[in-house]
Amino acid sequence: MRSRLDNAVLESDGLNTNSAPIFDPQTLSKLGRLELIAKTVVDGFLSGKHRSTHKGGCTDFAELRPYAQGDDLRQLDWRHYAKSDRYYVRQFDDETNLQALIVADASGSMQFGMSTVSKWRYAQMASACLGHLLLRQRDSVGLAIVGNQTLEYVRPLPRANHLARVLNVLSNVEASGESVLADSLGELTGRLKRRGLVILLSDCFGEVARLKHVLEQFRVRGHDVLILQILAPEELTFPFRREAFFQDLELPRQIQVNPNTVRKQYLQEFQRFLDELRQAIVDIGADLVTMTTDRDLGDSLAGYLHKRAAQKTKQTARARV
Amino acid sequence: MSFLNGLFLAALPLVAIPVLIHLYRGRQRDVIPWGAMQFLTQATTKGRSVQRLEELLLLALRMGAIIALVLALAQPLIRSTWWATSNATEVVLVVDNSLSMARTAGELSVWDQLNENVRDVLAELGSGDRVHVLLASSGGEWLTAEGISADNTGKSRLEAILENIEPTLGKAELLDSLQRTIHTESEGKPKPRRIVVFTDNQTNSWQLEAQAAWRQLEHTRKNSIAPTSIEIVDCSIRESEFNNLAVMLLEASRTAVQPNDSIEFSASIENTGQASSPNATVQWLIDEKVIATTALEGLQPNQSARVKTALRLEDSGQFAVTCRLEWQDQIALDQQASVVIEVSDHLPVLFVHDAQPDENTKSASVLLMATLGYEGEKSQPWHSVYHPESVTSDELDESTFSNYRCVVFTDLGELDTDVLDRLSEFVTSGGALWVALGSQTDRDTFNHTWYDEGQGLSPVAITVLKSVDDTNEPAGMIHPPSHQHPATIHLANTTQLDIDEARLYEYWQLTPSQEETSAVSVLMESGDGSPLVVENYFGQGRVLVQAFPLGLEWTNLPQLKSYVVMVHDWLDYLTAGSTARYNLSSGQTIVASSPAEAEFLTPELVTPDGNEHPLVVDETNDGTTRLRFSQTHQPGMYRVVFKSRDETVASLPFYVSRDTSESLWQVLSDEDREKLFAALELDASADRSADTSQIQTIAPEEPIWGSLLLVLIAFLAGELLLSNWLGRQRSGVAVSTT
Repeated sequence: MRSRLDNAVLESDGLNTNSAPIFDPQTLSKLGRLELIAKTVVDGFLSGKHRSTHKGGCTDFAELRPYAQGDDLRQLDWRHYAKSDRYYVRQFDDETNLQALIVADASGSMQFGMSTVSKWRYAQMASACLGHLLLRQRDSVGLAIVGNQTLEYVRPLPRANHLARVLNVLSNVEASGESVLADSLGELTGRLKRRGLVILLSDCFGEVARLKHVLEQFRVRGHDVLILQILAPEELTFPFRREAFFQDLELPRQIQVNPNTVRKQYLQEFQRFLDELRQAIVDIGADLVTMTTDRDLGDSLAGYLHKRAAQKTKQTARARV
Repeated sequence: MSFLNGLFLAALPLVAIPVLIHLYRGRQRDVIPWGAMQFLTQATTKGRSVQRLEELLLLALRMGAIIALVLALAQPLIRSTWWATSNATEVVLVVDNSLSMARTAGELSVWDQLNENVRDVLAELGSGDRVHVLLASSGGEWLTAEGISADNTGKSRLEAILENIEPTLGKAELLDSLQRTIHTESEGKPKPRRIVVFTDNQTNSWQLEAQAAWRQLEHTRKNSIAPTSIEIVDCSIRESEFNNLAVMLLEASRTAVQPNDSIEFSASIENTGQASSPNATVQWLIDEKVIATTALEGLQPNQSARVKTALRLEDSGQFAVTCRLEWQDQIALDQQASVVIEVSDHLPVLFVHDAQPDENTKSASVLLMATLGYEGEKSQPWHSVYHPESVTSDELDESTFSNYRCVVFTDLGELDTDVLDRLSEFVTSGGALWVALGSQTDRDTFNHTWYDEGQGLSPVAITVLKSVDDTNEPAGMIHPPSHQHPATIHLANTTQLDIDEARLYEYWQLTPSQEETSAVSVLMESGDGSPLVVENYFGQGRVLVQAFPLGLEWTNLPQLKSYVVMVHDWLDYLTAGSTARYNLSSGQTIVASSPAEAEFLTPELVTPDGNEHPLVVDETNDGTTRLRFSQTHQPGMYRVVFKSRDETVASLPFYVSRDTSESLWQVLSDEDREKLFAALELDASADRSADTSQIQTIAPEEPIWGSLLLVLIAFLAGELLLSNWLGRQRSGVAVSTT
């Protein structure tokens, strides 16, 4: 008896048609009023929700420092002067807008989608949602399509109508070709002048060490790095039963595989990759979110944003204490 | 390799079916676009080559099964040399020891040449080979019961054995010897067989005209298990002129005589050489004593002469009379010939008349006895060697037929079955029977018991009793008999005898069966062609069936002079069968009775080469004892001797005549050699000038479809096991064959 998966393979000729809309209001509604806040200090020109590297007139107290000539007398902490008989100036954190760069991997492996939408379509949808979310926070949003030979780059801008351009670029790119993710990311490191948020949407297939090295460069430059790893459920379970030819989506090659004989070995190799990747991301202090295409995108994003917001709240409370 | 049903080979392209299915199933497999190829590649790197090997093995098994099935249906035959592994060879030396091998020319000797060639061949043999020796003259005789190992000891033993062998009077029968050699099974596991024939290549030795026998030889060779090679070593002398005088035939006018009867001996002597022979002397010997000599004038090549002498033998007994040439030529063995004569005071014959004889039938016995010189039991001053006894048919129960040379029924009446059986045995063992039909004969009984549809003693049935009203009509007269038949040579002389005055009043119509009409020998017939006397060979004896009685009741023949001549000649003719048992052809059985003086002594048979053999002792229904010896293939003088304490008490000679073709020196011509090569299905382009020509025969072909079916079963079983195992390996469940 054929499994539903086998039927899906036959019906879809191996690839899903990706008919899901790239910008789904239903998904957006699930995000509600959630915000994507940078965990690290970022540079911005406008006041916003993110801590700025500049101390300013924001209400969030930062620290006391001894008074120096030329300081604004309005900033003197009279209460502390009464206690210590010394002049201290009160300093506050400046909140600024975020410059976020959504990096979408459009390599051939992202084309895969069998019983669900393709990973590329999932990445497109996630990018659109995040872009919308960030622009709604008056953050700057840029887009970089990496992973294959053609590198598309859209400069981060905080304007609301910038989303249209981001979506336009996203929808005009098809995932294909051999993955050159690490090289493409390496090129991007020079383009981001200000510290900001880098969101990578990819299956991260390839050499983990090289990816780690490139992402580490972002972290060294002060960027907050968020990796949304998008995987298909078939890649996680390898549920095939019948012998078949597996066509490589990145290279022009196919191999004849008996799934029953290779399943165990494959799953071991895949799990080892996931463990290596997770360890690498932890090492560089970035965030890794693994998303499977069979899960609702809204739920996945909302879950992560809730978790991130909770972490942010904890950090703030810890800082006040 | 050849095929019995080669048409099935047309199905061989079916072997492509598994390949096509393999390729088709490969194309039919799903193609899955896959992204995480790096993990799949790592996982499949290890098992891919093994899996491919398994698939190729499965494919090979399926193709092999189809090939095995198609080949098995085509029924291939494979030469057995393909699986011949042992280097040891079974060597058969076929030695031609026929008369022509005794030829010498000055210092040259064919036999010495043969021995030298045999030694050369023995020297070539390896110690693992086994050697058999077959003497090719007179049907072939194995020299050793088992093969002799070709090591140094065995070779010395073989050379010693062969040095004691001499040429014989026999004829070389090389075709029979080859057949015998190929028919003989190997000792133990079949080994390649090498047959080496040492011969002087006489044309008559090869029997090239026997094409059916050569085909049979070829068939046998093809079906033999071990590959066989044949070599022919030519030992003939070609350089010198052939000179030879041979006694080709020796005849006696009578072989059974009374003491002091004169017997005329006649010898035919031929110059078979290539040069004229000078005058020579012919000696006549009785038991190796020269009795007389005769001069022989010189003969031209291929000219023959007949020399005669008359001898009288005084004593009773069996005597070997020999004719010997006193002249030195190249083949000494063929310069003499012998004939055995029986000298006896009387040879008993039995006249049987009816139990209730009337005057006429009784007179038949009286007439016959008178003819032989007897009046009742009393002999006349002159009487024949045949001593008559007269009995009625009722007294036959007490008669022992083997005591008589001939039994004569003057007017055949009804006989008991037991008597008839004893008569059949008597005739079979060489006795003579003369049956005259008459008024006592019952037609139906005769046809049933004596004719028995051609299987009985009589070669003819009787149909009607023919009455002749006018005896001057041809039907009532006797046609003068033939000059050709030995029994009627004298009767045919109508100028001296009165057979033309014989008249028949009644006689039985003798009717041979349709198939035997031309085969039945007629000694006498009526003027209108009705057979009156016919003869039949029954076993070793002879039977005469006469259509009228021997008395006067149906004919006036007993009143004529011809009657006396007829009775004597026919008794001589009939009893010649019994005396002919002393003068035999090659292969005929020697049958002897113990003489009275040696009845209780142990007999032995001495062969021409001086070897002694035991005799087979037979008890006949008559209660008498007969001695038999059947291995008389070798021509020459045999003697049954009776010894008492190493002293010969009695000796009975038996002479087996030789084939005179061995005296003719006819070496295989080029044409004959081509025939020989064709008979062996060989390439005739071999070097004819070489003394030794080697003929490599084709190894026989063996059917192997049984093995192929086993291979097919093995392939199918292997395919089932492997596919089942692969199914389990790849899907985790057993493959259902339903």
